[in-house]
Amino acid sequence: MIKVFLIGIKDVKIRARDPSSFIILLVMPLILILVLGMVFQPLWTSTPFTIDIAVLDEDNGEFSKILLDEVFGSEQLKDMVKIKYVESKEEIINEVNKGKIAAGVIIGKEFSQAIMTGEDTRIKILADPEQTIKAGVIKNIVEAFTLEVLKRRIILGTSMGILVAKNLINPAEIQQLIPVWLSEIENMEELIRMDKKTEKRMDKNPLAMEYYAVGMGVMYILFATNAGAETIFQERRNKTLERIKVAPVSEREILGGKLFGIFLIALLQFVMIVFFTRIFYRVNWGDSILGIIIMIFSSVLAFSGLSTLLASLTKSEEQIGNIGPALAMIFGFMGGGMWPAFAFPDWLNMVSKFTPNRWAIDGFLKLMYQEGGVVSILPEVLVLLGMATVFFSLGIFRLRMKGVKVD
Amino acid sequence: MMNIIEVKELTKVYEGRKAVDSVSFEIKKGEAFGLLGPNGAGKTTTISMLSCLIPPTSGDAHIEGKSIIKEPIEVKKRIGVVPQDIALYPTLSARENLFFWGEMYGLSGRRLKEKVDEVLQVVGLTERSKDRINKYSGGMKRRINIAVGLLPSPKLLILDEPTVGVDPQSRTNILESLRKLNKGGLTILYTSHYMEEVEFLCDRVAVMDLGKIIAQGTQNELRLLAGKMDSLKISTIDEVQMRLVEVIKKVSETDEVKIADKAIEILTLQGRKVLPKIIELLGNNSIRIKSVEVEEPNLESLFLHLTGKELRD
Repeated sequence: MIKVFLIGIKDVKIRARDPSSFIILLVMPLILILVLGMVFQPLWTSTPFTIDIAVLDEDNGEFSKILLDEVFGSEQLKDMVKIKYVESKEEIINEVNKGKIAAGVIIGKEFSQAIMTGEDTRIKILADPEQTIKAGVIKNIVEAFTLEVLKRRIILGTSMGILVAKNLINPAEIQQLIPVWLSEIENMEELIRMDKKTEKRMDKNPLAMEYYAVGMGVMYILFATNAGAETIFQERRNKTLERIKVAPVSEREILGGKLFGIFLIALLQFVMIVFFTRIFYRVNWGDSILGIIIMIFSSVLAFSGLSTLLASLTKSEEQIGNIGPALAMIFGFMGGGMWPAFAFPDWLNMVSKFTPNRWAIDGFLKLMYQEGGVVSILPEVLVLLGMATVFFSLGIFRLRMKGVKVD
Repeated sequence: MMNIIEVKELTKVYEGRKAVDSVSFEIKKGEAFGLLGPNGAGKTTTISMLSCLIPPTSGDAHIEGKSIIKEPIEVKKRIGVVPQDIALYPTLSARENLFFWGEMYGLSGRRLKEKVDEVLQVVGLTERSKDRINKYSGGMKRRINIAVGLLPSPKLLILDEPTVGVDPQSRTNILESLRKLNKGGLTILYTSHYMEEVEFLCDRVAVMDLGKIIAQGTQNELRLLAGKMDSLKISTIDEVQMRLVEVIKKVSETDEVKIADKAIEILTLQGRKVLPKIIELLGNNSIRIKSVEVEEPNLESLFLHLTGKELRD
């Protein structure tokens, strides 16, 4: 087993000493992230960023009006959030399934009444999992609203309790007085105060630099894994494969070592991109460190599997050297590396789901723009690990069929 | 002396063609054994099978009693292999290469470091050990290539044409080092198509052609097998009279004597023994000698005798 690690580490050492690899795998993506981030930032911010949502308002009460008219209808949000009012939950589900809306908001019956009487109530959000960023924005807005409502309910409850206890008010008059008090509280302070993070995210939309750090970073994992896969052919060309084979090393250890090398090269490259963009480009990769680690590992595994399969399907270093970068570029574009998948036409949106890039990008964006942590990225992680399993299985099978033939 | 390797009817067939055809030989412990033959004779294929790199189609070989078919890992632990090609990582230093290969042979820690230092000393490259391989000359690369083979302290060192493309000085260094190792007790299996290398290094030789061993034995045994006589060519200043032919035939114990003006050519089984007698005879007859040339049969002529073609054809 230790020989697997030794072979992998040796491959990393060789790759690290190759100046062209350093430029292609590290300098290039960092330059691209910087250039694309700077060039496209004005385009991202000037392009109207609209979020289509559907609302089922079964309450029609005081608080639902505040959410719809004064929050979603506020100066900051009215151009961004486009509301379609619907009559049933099924209509919302239908719209979400068709991808026509990023999220559906259901305000239940007697929502306002429940708030005023201190009973439990809730707002349901049905999100389109493919419109991660947009759905995340809506979720943040509604969360901020409910926090504000909760805060006011506590103020009202406490105030009323004191007034009734001291016999300064007749309990029968409370229902008439609540709207008046609410109106006064409203005049006293800003209606909705977003927390810092939500404010930043909503005001600035997704930052181009952040998006391309993810998109290009993910795209270049495939470049790195391809470079790792090329070492299988280099080993054959240098006749070192024969030499490993005449040493007391099993074929499993040789193959395992080569695959570990592919994984390790890409892992180090991507981790360096994450660190560099975090420190120098101030890219916020999200607060969930565990989530980021899981996403990095699952993404690198999926791409390592893909490169292993590619190595098994190609016949020479030249072939993988030509096909590999082309595949990385195509997957990069199709997977949303250049432009967000929600801006894709339906067919491309569908096709993009067959690329590991799409799932990796979606996962990282969730960590950046949503607060669900590890749980929120489970679908992406599972798909990436599934892809890794399929790619590795096919690749290893084919490599073993081809044999590490040297005669 | 105990056999370290026993090869029995080893055969390798590629697409219906026998690359190695029922090859059998033994090598005793501490012996230097040469496999001599032209390119394509099957030497590398034989070595590849003995190194467990490729499986034989039939037959088997045992190294210290371990079968190359049934116990390849055990066999690999007992042998050091120096391939024909330079199998090193060009961007790693010699020391890094040796450390990696040592680790592949299961060495680690202080033992690995000591062994690396030792083999560097053997090949005389301690001073340049931190240089990258791609900065080395061809000869130096060859020496590190050999050093890798010595790392596992093998019972048997297999070398497949290790001096190909090496300058004469490096070649001499390599051969001297190998001879020293052999004198120190290391068993060597050496393949080459350079007759003089095999003659210099090996106690016993097997001659291969077209996948078969066509002759094997000590160098003297093989020379006798060639059945070829020594050739004495004497060039004179004075003319040699024809009347001397019969006397020369008698002295050199052969009928194969030719005289032409100022030259005598004698074919005899004991060239070195009869040469002084011939010189004395010519002196007694006032014939001054200009030059003397003695040609003895060697492995090259043996190969020519057995196959009708030259080793480097």
